[in-house]
Parts: sequence; structure tokens; C-alpha cells
Amino acid sequence: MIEVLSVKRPALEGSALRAASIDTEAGGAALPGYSIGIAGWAVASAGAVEHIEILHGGTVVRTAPLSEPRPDVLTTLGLPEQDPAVGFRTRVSLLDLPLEPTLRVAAKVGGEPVEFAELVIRREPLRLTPPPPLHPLVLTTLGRTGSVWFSRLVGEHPAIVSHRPFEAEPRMGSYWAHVFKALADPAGVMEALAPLDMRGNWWLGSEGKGTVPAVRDPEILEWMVESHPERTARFCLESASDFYARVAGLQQKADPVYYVEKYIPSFVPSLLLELDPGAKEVFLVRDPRDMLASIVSWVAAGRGGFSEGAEAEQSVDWLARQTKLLLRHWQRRSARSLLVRYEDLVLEPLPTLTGLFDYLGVDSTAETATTVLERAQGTKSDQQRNHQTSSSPERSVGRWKRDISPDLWDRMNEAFAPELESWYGDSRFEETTAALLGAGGPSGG
Amino acid sequence: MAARRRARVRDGEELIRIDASMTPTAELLNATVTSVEVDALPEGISLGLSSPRPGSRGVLPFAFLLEGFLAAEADVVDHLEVRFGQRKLREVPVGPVVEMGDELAETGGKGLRVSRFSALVGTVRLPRSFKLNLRVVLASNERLHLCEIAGTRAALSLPAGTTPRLSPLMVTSLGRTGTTWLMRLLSEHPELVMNARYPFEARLQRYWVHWLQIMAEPANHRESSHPETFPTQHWSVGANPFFTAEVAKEDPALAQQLSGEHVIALAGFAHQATETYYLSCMTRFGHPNARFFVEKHVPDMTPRLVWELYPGAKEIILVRDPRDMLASILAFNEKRGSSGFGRDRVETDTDFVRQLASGVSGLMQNWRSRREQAHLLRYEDLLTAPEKTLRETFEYVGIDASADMVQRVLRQASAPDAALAFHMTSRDQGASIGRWKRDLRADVQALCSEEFGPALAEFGYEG
Repeated sequence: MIEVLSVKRPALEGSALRAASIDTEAGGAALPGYSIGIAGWAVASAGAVEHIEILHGGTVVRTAPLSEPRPDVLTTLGLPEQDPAVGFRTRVSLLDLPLEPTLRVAAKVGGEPVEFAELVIRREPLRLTPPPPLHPLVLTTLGRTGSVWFSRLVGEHPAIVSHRPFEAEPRMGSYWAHVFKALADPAGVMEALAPLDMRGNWWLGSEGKGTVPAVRDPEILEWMVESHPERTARFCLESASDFYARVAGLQQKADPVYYVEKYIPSFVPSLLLELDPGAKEVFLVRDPRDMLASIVSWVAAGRGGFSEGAEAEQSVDWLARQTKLLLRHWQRRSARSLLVRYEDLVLEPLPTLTGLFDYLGVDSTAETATTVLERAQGTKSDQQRNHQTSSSPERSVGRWKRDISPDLWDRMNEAFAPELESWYGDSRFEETTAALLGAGGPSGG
Repeated sequence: MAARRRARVRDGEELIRIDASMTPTAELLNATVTSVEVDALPEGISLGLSSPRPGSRGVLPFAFLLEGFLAAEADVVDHLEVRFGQRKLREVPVGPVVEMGDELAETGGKGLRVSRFSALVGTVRLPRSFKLNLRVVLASNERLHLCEIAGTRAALSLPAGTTPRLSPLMVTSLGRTGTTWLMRLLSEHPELVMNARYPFEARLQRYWVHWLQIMAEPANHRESSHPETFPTQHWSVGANPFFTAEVAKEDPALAQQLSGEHVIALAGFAHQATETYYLSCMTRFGHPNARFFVEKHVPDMTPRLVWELYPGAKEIILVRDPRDMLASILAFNEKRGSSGFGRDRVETDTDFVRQLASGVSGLMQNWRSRREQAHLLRYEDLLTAPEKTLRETFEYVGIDASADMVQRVLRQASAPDAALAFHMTSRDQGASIGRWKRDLRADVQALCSEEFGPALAEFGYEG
């Protein structure tokens, strides 16, 4: 169920729009499903409206052409009947947006968007009851944070499944989340309902930014906006769960609870947490200055590019944008998620693992944590060694002081200050790290 | 192309030794392959095919491993492609391995560049018994035949225990053959359901069977989803990028699930998504006792897969004198000021006739391959003898074919309909028969006789 909390129509005086409006229900309207239809019209002061954009934050989530005849509008504005269509009609999926999003409607005139409506919406979450047997352990992180080692490590727990993190790293959960998004989107559904060509042998799905015609039949609309997304969600999550259940069988794990996959901060982690009440999320962070040093080392070794440049100086701003995105996601979900610091994972693995397993509600005895650690350390593969850029985990902590020129330190400290404050705000960090250097650990990132 | 030295390895064994690790599980990942014919390799190209092997019986119900080595002069080979008839099934990248020296000296291959290829080839898009051609695509874009692989795949089915509430009734045809009128008629039968709104082209089953074919495919990073970029493709879905040959070789049991049970589960979901839609149509359009849902199809792989999934399916193959089709298409495009039905893809009417002939030939092949189970319906019979034609059609489907029902369907479908009037290009339906004699130029008529000849004979039209 969707509730329209408010609809605002900003004044258009002096703008490139002569007049525009949306026909969507007024504030307080209750609508079914997980997508919202938005229709209306727009007339430019001079020239033509190119198309309509629906925005969430700075992102265009849908565009729609002006393709609907609106004789009522033409009459009201005293325009000739033969003028081009001024109406639009589209539908926006809300499943990859927060539960209470603000959507802004803009008309593109002369290449510039002119906003003429704002909707604040609240929707009920889509929850699978009961959820699939295996739940996602969502590892939200960035590159060079020790995420592969994390997956390798927790995958040794009898209740957690990971599949060859250092080799194949299949991200089935991520893939199926994207399948769900594309299939549940009204634009995707319209591919089947409207006589459109399908996109050849290898792709399914529209570009998602075209028109979504009105569905005039209420029974079919209910299917499209509500029951179909719910069924699709179940199938997609069960497909990921089935895969990892098979992996668990191969690993002789009798009672798996979670499958671990890493995700960049995007819509996917919150979507999985919404769909599966049993899902858990871990934010794996690392001192961004060490991340920078590790990235530079990685790129210098010819292992692929992370950012626009190979030098630390060229990558600071790029990395700061990534870490700030991660920070925003952490701030939104910190109440239900767990923060794990790379430094703790490699320097104090046993208490870190115990805390993690506690959070997950799986066996967290010291004996289990020890076994997990020993097994992971005892099976270090060539791929794992290739993944490292330091000679040891101890040397990977605080490496920025050795690897990055002091000329860049002030800039780094400034660029990463919010992250360092949020993730490493306790003053004990530097001291603790220094004290712990020399303790055993698995790998160096 | 520069002259190439002759170097041929007829059997893959010579080259398999380069990477012995690939052989043990590779053998498991064969299709059930009846033959692999490697002969007349192009000059200077050598093939070592370790999988599939003739006579093998693999563990993957809907895929097989295509793996081996190709030796050629450096930079000559761009990629491989697997073809099914005229259709490219998939491309297969080749990766440079090593510049060969003494290892191939005995076979005359010294100095050649040996490239490895390894990919899973999905078979859901194929008939249960198939023959594939493997071709090498050179950097010059020249395509050369390498070998033919013949095999079989498992039967595709819905998950055990699935009992469809509705069965598919397919109307397989081409454009401007009277499909819209037939759909309008069928929409009035209470035992049939469709989205009964003009132009009757909500095609949920086609969509979901298309989805099934894509989702059942093993990874194809070259043409479909890539593991690094799929998260940025917000509006599109491609083949599972993680179901790779590497995963299959490391974990054949996982590959077996992804290519077996999982494909059946995909088919189950496609069925569920289709049926729930048509159940909502039953409510919406007041056909609570419907037993079949009706969709328009074209003669491609989909009807064949639908038959495989739904043993209770029915199929009407609707044909029309292709010369009248052509005249109708040209008139329709003129009426709407458009270039539809593929006319925009060719320059001249002559080329368009040839293009249309290919479609007509495809429809004829569909009819020939399923004539034991499908029902042929001629547009002309529907217009000139509607009662008899509808009765026979309803009898074939197994729904009420009584005279009362036929009359009711005809009466209700004949009510004035502005949308249908817009769809027509003749002043009345009778005038649409034999219109080609009036509408087509003499030279085009002659070309039609030539190009459509086999279909005219097959479907009983005067030549």
C-alpha cells in the first residue's frame, strides 16, 4: 500500500514553463502496490517541452514523452487543437527507493529541467513471509577493504556459506536482486502487455525510460503493481537461496543460515534487507588512507584500475566520493547493521569474529571462532596471495604513513575526516592499532 | 588474407596435453552428443576440441561445455560462433595462450598462435535434437566452418506437480493474415481468455518464454550480462554472468543445478507469471470458465517450447495467400504512413518480397514440423465459410463447437468496432481475398509466384 503524504506544485512564474500540473491523487490518497502512476501535462513558455523527468534526489528514475492528447488543457490555455500532445503518463517503481521517497517532476525545456511538482510518498515494505531458507548476509563495502578475506573467513562458519571468494566470487544474490528490479518494474511488465519488440536473444527489459501506458483494467493493474512484484521477489530470492543451499551441500554444511556476498553501496542492500526479514548487514570499513595506499599498490601492480588515475593524488577525490557514499548508507542503517573494521578483523580476529557471530545469532563460542580462523588461515590459496598488496596484515594497517607522501596527508585527512570520525572516532583507535601490531593475522590488503 | 600454413590437428588429444587439468570434469560437461564432425578445416586453422566428444553423455541437461584450442597465425582469429541453422546461437571468445614452437612442429604448426576457448553452450533455445555449426570468425570478418556438433538435450517441463489451470492456445502466424479478426472471434468464446482489447497483442507467454530462454543461458559475457557491469544495467536482464565454464568445471554439481533443476524452476516461474496474469483476465473479461488462454505467436522457437512445457497446448497455424499478405501490408503502411512489417529494413518491394518469403517459409516449416498436433486455418476459409471453419477450429481445441456457440461468437464479434475498422485495409472482408490481382504490379506478382511457390502449394493456393 502506498500513501501519498503530500503533493506540492511550485510556482512557475518566470520559468521556462507556461503551465504544468500533475493529475496524481492529492495528499492522503492510498494506492495499491509498489509503483505509482504519475500523469499530467506541461506547456513551455516558448518552444517545446522535450520530455518529462521524474527525479529522486539527483537521479532521474523515469523519463516520459509528451504523448497524451489533452484537449482540456489546450482549451483552457487557449491553444490550437492541432498543437502537439502536452500530456504524459508514466509509472515509477518504488522498490529501489527508500520507503518514504520524495519524487520531483520536471519538464525538460531547452535542455534544462523545470520542476513543477513534488510528491512525498510512503509505502509499506515488501516482506517475504516466510523468507527463503537461506538469508543474505549483506557485506556492504568498497574495494580494498579486506572484503574477500572477510567472505573467506566467515565462510568457514558452519552456518554461513560463501563460494570461492578468492576465485570465482559469484554474486548470485546481487544478480537476482537486479533481475527482480528489472522484472518488477512497470516498464518491464509493459514489454509483455504492449506489442513491443523484445530485445533480441540476449536481453530482456526495456530501457525503462519510455512511456508506461495506462492499464485500464483494475484486475490487471492489481496484478501488475502488487501480486506480480511479490511473486517475483519470492522467486528471485529463492533462486539465490537455492544456489547457496547447493553450495552448502557441497561444503557439507547441514544447517546453513546465511550466504555472504559483498555489495557496493547501492539500492541492493536495503532492498534485500526489506525483502528478507532474516537478512543481516555488515558494513566493512577500513581507514580510507590505507585503502588509498592499497589501491595505488594494486594499480601499480597492473591488476586493473579502481579510479581515474594511478597516483594517490589523482585518486583521493574519487575515493572520498566512494567512502562518503558508504558513510551515508551506514548512517541510514546503522541501527540494524554491524560495523566491522578491517583493522579489528586482522589484528583482533577472535573478538571481532565473536562479535560478528553474536550479531548474526549463530554459534559464537570462542571454540567456533578459533576453528573458523584456523581453517581460513590454513587454506590460503594462490588467488588469496595474489589478492594481497602488503607482505603481512600488520603492515597493511597504517601503511599509508609509509606508502603515501606526507605532502598528501593533510589533504587526505581533510577529505576523509567524516569517515574517520564516524568509523574510527574513538580516540583509542590509533593507540590500539599500534599496540596490536605484531599480533597474528591472515593477509595483507 | 595472407597465405596460411597448413597445420591441422584432427583430434583434440594432441592439444589437450597443454592443459591436462581441463579434461576430467570437461568430460562430464558434454551434452549427450551423438557426433562431432571435424573435417575440411580451413587452410591454416587447426582445431583441438576436448569437449564435446562424440558419443559422450554429459551431466548438464540444458548446456554443454565447448572447450578446446585453436591454432592459427597470430591475430588471425577474432572469435568463434556457434550457429543453429541460419541463426547465431552465441559467440565464444578465444584467449591467447601461447605462441607455439616445437610442440606443434610434428604437425607443421610451429610458429602458430594457439588460443584457448571455453564456454558453456545453452541448449534450451534448441530443439531436443540439434545440429550446431562451429565457425571461426577471422579478424577480417570472414567466417569459416570448423565442425558440426550433433546432440540431444533433456526434455523441458514444468516442475513436478504443476497442474496448469489454463492451457495455451497459440495463434501462430505472420502479420496481415487476419490474426486480429481471428483473435476477435476467439475472444467471444467463454472457454477462451485473452486480453480482449484491440490489438489483442498482450503476449505474456511469449514474454515469459523469452525470459526463460535468456535466464536459462549460461554466462555470455561477450553478448549478455557481464559480472562487472550488470549492476549498472538497471533496466535489462541478461544471462546469469556467474554460470561460467570455470564454475562448471570446478563444481559440476553446481552446474548441474544451474543447468537442470534451476531451469525447471525458471520454467515454473514463467508459467506462474503467465497464468496469474490470465487468471486476472478471466475476472476482468468475464470468462470464469475459460480453459485456454490465447496469444498471437510468430513462427520462431517459442511455440516449440510452449508445446514442450504444456502437453495440453493447442496451436492454430493461420495462413493467408502470401500475395494478399503483401498487398495488405503495403496498403496498411500507406494508410498509416509507416514502414511496418519489416518494410523499413529493405530498399525495394522486390527485396521485401524476398524477406517476406523467408517468413512464409518459416511458417511453413512450423506447420510441417507440427502438422500432427496443430490446426491449419486459412484466412480465406474463415471469411468465406466462417461457421464451418470456426466449428472445426473449436472442435480441434476441444471447446464447445455447437452451432449455437459458433453463431453466438460470430454475432458478438461482428458488432461494429471502430478499432477493427481502422485495422482493415479493404472496403470489406470479401474484397481482401485475391486483392493481389488488383493491387500488385505484374512484375511483383511474377516474383511472388517464384518466391512463395512452395508455400502456395503447401497451403493450397493457386500458383
